[in-house]
Amino acid sequence: MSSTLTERDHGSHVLLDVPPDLSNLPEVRAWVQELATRVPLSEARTFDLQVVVSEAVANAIEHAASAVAIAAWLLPDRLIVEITNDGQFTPGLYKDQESRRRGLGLPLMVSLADQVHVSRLSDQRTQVSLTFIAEMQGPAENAEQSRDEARARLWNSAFKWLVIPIPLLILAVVILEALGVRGSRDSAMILTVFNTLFLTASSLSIVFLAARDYLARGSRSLLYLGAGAIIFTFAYLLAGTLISNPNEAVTIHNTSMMLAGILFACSAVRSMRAREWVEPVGKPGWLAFTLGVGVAVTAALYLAAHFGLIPAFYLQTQAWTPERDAVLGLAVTSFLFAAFCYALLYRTERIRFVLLCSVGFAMLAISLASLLFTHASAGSAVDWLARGGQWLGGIYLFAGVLGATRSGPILSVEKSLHELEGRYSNLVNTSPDAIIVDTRGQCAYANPAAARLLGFESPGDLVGHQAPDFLAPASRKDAVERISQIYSGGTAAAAEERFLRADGSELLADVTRTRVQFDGDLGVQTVVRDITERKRGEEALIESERRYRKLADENQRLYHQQLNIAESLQLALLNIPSEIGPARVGHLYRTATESNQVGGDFYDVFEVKNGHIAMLIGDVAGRGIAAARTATLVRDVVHAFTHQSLRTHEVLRRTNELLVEKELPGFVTLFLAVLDVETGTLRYSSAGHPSTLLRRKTGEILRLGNGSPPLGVSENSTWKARDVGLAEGDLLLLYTDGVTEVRRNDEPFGEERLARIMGRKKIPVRHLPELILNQVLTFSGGVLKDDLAILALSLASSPGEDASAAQTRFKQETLLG
Amino acid sequence: MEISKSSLSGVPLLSIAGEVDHLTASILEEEIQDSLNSGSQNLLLDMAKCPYLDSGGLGVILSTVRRQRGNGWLGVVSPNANLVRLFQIVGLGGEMGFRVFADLSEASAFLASQ
Repeated sequence: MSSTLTERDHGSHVLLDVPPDLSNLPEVRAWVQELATRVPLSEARTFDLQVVVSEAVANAIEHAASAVAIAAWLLPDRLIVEITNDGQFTPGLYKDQESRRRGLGLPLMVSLADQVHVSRLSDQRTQVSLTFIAEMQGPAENAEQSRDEARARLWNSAFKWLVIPIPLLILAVVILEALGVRGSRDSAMILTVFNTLFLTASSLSIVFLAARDYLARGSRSLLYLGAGAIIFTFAYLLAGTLISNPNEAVTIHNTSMMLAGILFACSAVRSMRAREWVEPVGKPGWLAFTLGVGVAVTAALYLAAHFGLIPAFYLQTQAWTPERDAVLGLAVTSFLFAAFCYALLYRTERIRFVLLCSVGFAMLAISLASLLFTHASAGSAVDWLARGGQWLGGIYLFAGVLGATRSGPILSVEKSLHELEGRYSNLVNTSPDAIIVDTRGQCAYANPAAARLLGFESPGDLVGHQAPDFLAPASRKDAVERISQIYSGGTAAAAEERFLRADGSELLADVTRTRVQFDGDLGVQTVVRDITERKRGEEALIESERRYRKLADENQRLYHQQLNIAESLQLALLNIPSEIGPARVGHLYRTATESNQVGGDFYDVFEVKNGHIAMLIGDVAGRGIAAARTATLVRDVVHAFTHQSLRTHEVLRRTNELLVEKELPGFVTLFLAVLDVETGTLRYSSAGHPSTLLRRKTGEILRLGNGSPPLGVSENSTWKARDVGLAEGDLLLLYTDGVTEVRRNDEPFGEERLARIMGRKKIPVRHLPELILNQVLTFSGGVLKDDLAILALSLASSPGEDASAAQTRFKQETLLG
Repeated sequence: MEISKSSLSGVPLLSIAGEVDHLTASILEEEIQDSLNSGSQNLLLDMAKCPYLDSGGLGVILSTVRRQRGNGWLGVVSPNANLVRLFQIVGLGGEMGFRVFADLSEASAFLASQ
């Protein structure tokens, strides 16, 4: 196929114009495929990207018959594709039977892309924005798993390098011993040269790698490491070979070592302060303890030497001074300090991890060797051991550097990162989205769009403010939590947050946060997209869709199989009678407005043998067909078991057994109660389900069942049954967490509000669920993120006193039913 | 995209070579209609040479399956892993009248057992 479409490079992004003709689709897909190789995306994700872009372009051409512009931003961690066209984008809406199949486009796009935004631009154009995250290879668990695997590989390879030098060293010592190379320090030229070359080469390699790390990532911490390595080399070159006076040699050697050690320690501390690790250091307390011990042991050794309790730490053949002693002491202390810091810094970036680890091990070996050295006479066993330690250190450095250099095309990675950074800053400056970078909790950079959005005159006015200054009180707590999560190496999902403008007004925005390097510091970049308008657009879209659906006939409406199931579930629920024996029942099930997948809420009320009424409510974790199937299964199974046994905990145990045996994914929460109509005793058991509320006729509210494991988790779980007596006028309210977890901003609806609604007397139980739903919707502004189910049951006549009448009616109904 | 017609144990077999998208979906739709009009209630689509299929093609398959519901089935032969994923997403996996065969021999074995 001859290429008719040409990509244009706009610096920060690339652009492709597509004429309004569906025959261009294959070429668009070929371009997308090539685009995906630049991110890069896996084969399956590339296919997804092709489908999603192709869908969006086809939709624009079919509905608006206008030319389409595709813009793509290739960022370090993601690919953003924006498809803009003149006219209206009508995802998911279909006007006639023939084009009904077009309606599959949006569900596909939403399922395949990591983020989909549809926005109406001010000039009557529509923009579809699609985001593909580079690392995401599917569901989050997979990504986590692959990260774990990568980490495991890293440890293996790194430690291979760290362990190999030990036998080599032993071999070297044996060979030298056999060659008879021994004797005094002055004459052992070969050893001195060996030492010097080894350590000099590895130190210079560290300088080189540190400099490259700075150029590629802007990390200044490693510059200290590099400077330390230079001085380290100086110590060996000068003290080892060039200075002939042994006294001066030792002084220069020790002073240089001290300086290098202090620089290494600075580098380590700076790395930690800038949080340049991807995984948080596991136990800060343990870290401090280890460092403390290292410093204390060294200090104690020196004090002991000073007071003559142990042989002094100096070369026996040389005169010593307290000053030199102190210098060497400081050197060893700072080396130890740096060594422990580095060994504990855990990086997932392979090159740096290997480098830091080997530096850490090397310094440990050298520090210990230095301690021994000072107490060694030339040619003695201690002398050999000390030299061995120093070589080991050198080998660690060398192997680390070798491992880091060999562990992949470092240069090309760095080059592309560097290139991207240039592109990136250009993108940030011209981005229509507001971008704010925080370092150490303060705003360090804001782009012009951020100043406009938040009502500041210039971006500079934002600098120095703390992140919460820009947030409305309702979002502050969660936002700060998300920011600290990112600082400590976690990821935070995109969220909606309320921002505070300079003039005090609020705006609703979509927020994405990522970790960035900013001026050598670790920072958090916040991309803020004003969605106040989009939210309105979306609501209008949902509203028109809802209205349309009402008009469409049943066949057109049953579009997704998902919806089919939702409806058949609801149909089953409609069979619940409004009266059973002395009990009056009200119930309600409502699907989420925010998801087109079915949830796993279920409930049931039915009569059991000998004048008992069973009621249950439950919630299957997850959404979709699998959850709905499990819900139906559990409901039927509990139904059947309850007919066999009225001991509710026994029913839960058997249901659990079945669920565990079937190895169904996820878990199920369930509240099951059996009412003995004759005595008024309600026996109930709860498996991790939110408390059922019981309102006494007196107005007192009791909470039934909590703090128990859900079903389907462990075959060893057990449950208890409890009894409570019911009397006439008592009201039971069973519900799923879709009710209490509904949120306004971040505040949940909560059990208290439910209890208050129940407290209002004289609401017929049949209307209570409806009333609760209205309150919930008013509270959340019409949004239901989760399905919800409510089951209310009241006792019309008092059991016991009027048992015979109730029994009679109950039996009649059973017969009628 | 090209479609060639043959049959397997009496069931019409449409072999798709090329990509099925919004432009080419109507061709597939016509061919399917033709085959069903010729009297068969069941239909096989050989997708071994179909690397790409989007909502255009999925819509055709889904509406065919829905229309045939209770009367016959539509079998897809040798679809690649990406296509199978899409079938799941749009809910074809739960349709009674939709079958996936790993290859033609599996399809013939199934037909023989009928």
